[in-house]
Amino acid sequence: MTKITYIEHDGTEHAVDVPDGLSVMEGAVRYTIPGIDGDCGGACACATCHVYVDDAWKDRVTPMNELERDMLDFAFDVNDNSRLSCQIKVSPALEGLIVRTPARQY
Amino acid sequence: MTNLTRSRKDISPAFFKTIVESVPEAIIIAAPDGTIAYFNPASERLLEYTQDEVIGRNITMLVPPQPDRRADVMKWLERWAHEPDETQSRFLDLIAQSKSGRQMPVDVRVTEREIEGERRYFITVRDNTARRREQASFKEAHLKASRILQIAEDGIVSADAAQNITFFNLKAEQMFGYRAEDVLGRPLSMLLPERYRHRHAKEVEAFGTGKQASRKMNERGAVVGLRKNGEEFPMEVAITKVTVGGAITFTAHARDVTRRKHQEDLLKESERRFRAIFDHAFEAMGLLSPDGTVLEINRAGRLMTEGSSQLVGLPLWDLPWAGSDLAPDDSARQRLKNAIADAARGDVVRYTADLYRAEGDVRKIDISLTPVKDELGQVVYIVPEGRDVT
Repeated sequence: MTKITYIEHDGTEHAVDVPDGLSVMEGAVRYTIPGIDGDCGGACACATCHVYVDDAWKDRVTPMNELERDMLDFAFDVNDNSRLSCQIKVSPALEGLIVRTPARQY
Repeated sequence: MTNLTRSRKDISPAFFKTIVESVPEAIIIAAPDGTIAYFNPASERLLEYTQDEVIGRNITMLVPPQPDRRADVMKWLERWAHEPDETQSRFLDLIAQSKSGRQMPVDVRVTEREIEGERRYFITVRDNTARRREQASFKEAHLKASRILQIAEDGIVSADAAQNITFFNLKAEQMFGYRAEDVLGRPLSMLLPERYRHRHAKEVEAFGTGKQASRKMNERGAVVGLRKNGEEFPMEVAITKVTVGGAITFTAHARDVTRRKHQEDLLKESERRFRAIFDHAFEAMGLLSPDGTVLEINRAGRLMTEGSSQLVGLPLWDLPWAGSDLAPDDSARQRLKNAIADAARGDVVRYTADLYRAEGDVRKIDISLTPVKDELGQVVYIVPEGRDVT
């Protein structure tokens, strides 16, 4: 279990224990946290699990691959902290991770 | 062969033209650099441009760059052209803009072919607005319903027809000490002590075939839950069933009543203790409402009134002092009545009454009436006591 804090666009915080091995997207779905859709089910074939990784964690999460970078073309309001949360694997190294959800996913 | 049933090689170019111009699907042909080469009538209807307004111009005029999104139409057309049909743009919409400025998410499909020796993209475009809107409202409704269940204050556990767990909300995790991942797909009965499992499974099965859609499980006695650490605890459980798409789902709504049961037990014990003191007191003692109605009377009190069974609910002065009386006339009864009225106003009243017994002897009874007040100073009870001081 790794503690992850999801912060909704309106500021609502959800601090939850996500089982290791799940993706950050799956963790959100497990706890029905609003703001992360995951339409394609984690196949990196959509951009509806877009999150902003907190600055402190930006360089500590699994790095982005080419496919994810491409898919982010379809996310809204992408910035340097943008990631697709289905591509971030939860592990004890991410204990305390903070991600924020964007205003819209589609 | 009729005109409508001939093989492809026999069809005239005019027939093909009619097809392309009549299909409801918007068809656009573009060069690899994006220059529009063809725009069928359905495209004209969808995007509100005439073919003359778009042919020779770049397709980006129809899918303009978005300020908040970086998807580039040419990059993706090229990419999708080389992907199998079923994965192309399945979850991805470009945003098209009509001549009047209406923006719409569009489902774009593309193949790359050579025509007259030139490479061309053959593109179909479909307005996805309604579909995406439906999807969004479905997703929102689904999220809302699942979130309500997930964060409910009751432990909610669903199971399928085989009674294997399919849903386990946060409160259930807390109550039973398992993580959802530990129990999903496992038998519902794992949440009950061994000795109840067989009967419980039969009950759930019977409920499944019965007519009721929901039932409280406590109707047939207490329900006991089993935590991961082996601890048993009392639960209050209601069970519901829902059949969707031919598959039944049982859902238990459980509440851990350990605390409440503990408080009830404490209360019962306290009641038992006070009852013991009250009933075993040597003095006759009771509890009256301020109007003198007997609410409680102890054993010694019953002996003094010589044990008529139905004393509660009568005014104290009307108790059947069987075989005896407070006085030969009514004055003593009246005195007790007045004394109770004084106590009801808040005074402690004490006097000695004579009890004339049938056998002829006279007993002297020390009577006291003590008012009991609530927080506001109102008399809510009167405690009558009587002692034989003969």
